[in-house]
Amino acid sequence: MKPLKYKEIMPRVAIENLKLIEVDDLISLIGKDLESIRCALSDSPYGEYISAISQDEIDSISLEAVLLQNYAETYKKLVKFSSGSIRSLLLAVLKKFEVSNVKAMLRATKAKITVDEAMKHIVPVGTLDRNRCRAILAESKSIDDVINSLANLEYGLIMKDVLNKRERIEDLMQLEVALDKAVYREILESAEKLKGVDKKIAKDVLGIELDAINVRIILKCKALGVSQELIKDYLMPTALFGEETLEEATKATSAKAMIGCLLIVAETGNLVYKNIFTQMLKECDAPLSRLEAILDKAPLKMSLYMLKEHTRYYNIGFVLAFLNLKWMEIKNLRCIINGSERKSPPSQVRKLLTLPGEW
Amino acid sequence: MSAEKLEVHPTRLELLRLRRRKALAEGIADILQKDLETLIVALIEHRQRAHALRTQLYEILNTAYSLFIETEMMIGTMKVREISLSASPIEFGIEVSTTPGVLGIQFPSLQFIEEENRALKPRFNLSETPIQLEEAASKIEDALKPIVKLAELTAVIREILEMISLKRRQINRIRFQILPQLDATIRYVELILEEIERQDAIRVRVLQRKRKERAAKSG
Repeated sequence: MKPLKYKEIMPRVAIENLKLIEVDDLISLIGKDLESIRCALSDSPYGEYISAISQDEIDSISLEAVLLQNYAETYKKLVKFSSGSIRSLLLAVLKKFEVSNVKAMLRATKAKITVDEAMKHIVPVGTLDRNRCRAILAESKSIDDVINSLANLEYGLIMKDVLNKRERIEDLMQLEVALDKAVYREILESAEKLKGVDKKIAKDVLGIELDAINVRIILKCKALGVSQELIKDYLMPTALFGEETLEEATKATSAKAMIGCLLIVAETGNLVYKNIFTQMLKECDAPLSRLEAILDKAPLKMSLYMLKEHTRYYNIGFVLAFLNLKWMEIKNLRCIINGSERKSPPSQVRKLLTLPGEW
Repeated sequence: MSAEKLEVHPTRLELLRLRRRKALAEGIADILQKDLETLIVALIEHRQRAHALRTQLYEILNTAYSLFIETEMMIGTMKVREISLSASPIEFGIEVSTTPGVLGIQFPSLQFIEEENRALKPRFNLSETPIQLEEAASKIEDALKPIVKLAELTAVIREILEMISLKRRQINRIRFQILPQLDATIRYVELILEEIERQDAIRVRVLQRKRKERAAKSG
């Protein structure tokens, strides 16, 4: 263990962690109107971004943008105060958001919407800042143009590779899947470069996220009747559930059989895997959205489990747990804001929240 | 308002013709009335079917919109909009034809035609979107058939309403225009014929009186 490399990042994470909104406060926002939510958020870290929006412009879209902007800024701070392999891992994870911007640019170009309209979908993070995205969108008339504009970044090369392999791109799904796969592969590689407890924690926390995504993809594809061959193309790099396990899961005739097959492997993992898949097996007859909700909680549960298992400081567990908690807070706030705007019943909003424990 | 009489010669033959025409008009009015009743029954049936279909459609759309709102709550409005930019549209066609309906009237028929050999593949990014979005899209797709069926029923109802209006106009024309006109004309001809009969009777009596006077003078 090398506490030195945590010297700067840990206090920063601890400060940011204290800024997180308490779950009780978050729940108390359910059912309130947008103005009340805006007032409540004014006293939170989102306050400085919210004050920049005029009262007439307050709606779910502007508030959502504020939340994402805050997440990007917080992430930037953590990257700034990190060093070595932790910094590499954080930068690799940040690429998930960069890829999200690349996808937004591809979609906007395909739909031929105006640059200003397209820019609303961009969250400036990493190497793809606002100016660069605007320049790419302004210059690009087709998907090929976007790919060429990104040729100096790894994303451009990944997409060119897809174009070379396939004669015709029917839809953007192939490009999007290739980008997602590349990013997750890089995240796994970065986690692999860590040492000791950090490596174990990062592999478990980021691994369960990948496993959850793959299981979600299989469940969804099977519900839609997608062929086994096609499902394989959509799967992300694997973690605890290897390719063979996932292939076996795709062959399962029912959700119960599939989860049962995954549970056998999950039992070889840690307690979180076992708990999640046991719960899924119990609720296998529930709607798919319920199973997805259980899987959505997996990274957060794993992060919190790692915090209990290992010391709170001087390992990457606290950083990853904070990032997951922050992301969940943003997701929950987004859910509450949209629910408020759409006047959804509080019970429906509450059902869709991802809370750390049984709340 | 008294009906205007027709321009006819006040003869017995014309009177017979007019009475025949009146009987025929009354018969036509009765047939049209029966048609009207049949059309009203068909209208009620179609309206009930449309109501049931509309209720079913509202249920499907309510579920679809609820799922869509859940998606927006989960991944955000902007993300849903962004994903919709590249989602492939649902391809379908509508075949328009006609089918013989009640009273042999040609009713419009709309046939929903699904895209053949459609590949079973997800429409939205699998790792970014919750299942609710696919379910909402699938529900909207399910709603297309009832929407087309409802459009067909609405067109049929409109057709029936037009026919009812036409039949009602025809019945009214017979009852309130043709029949009173014929009645007035028959009454006129009858009056003229009665007048002629009265004049003839007077003439006969005058002639008889003159004949008697002549016989008395010569006797």
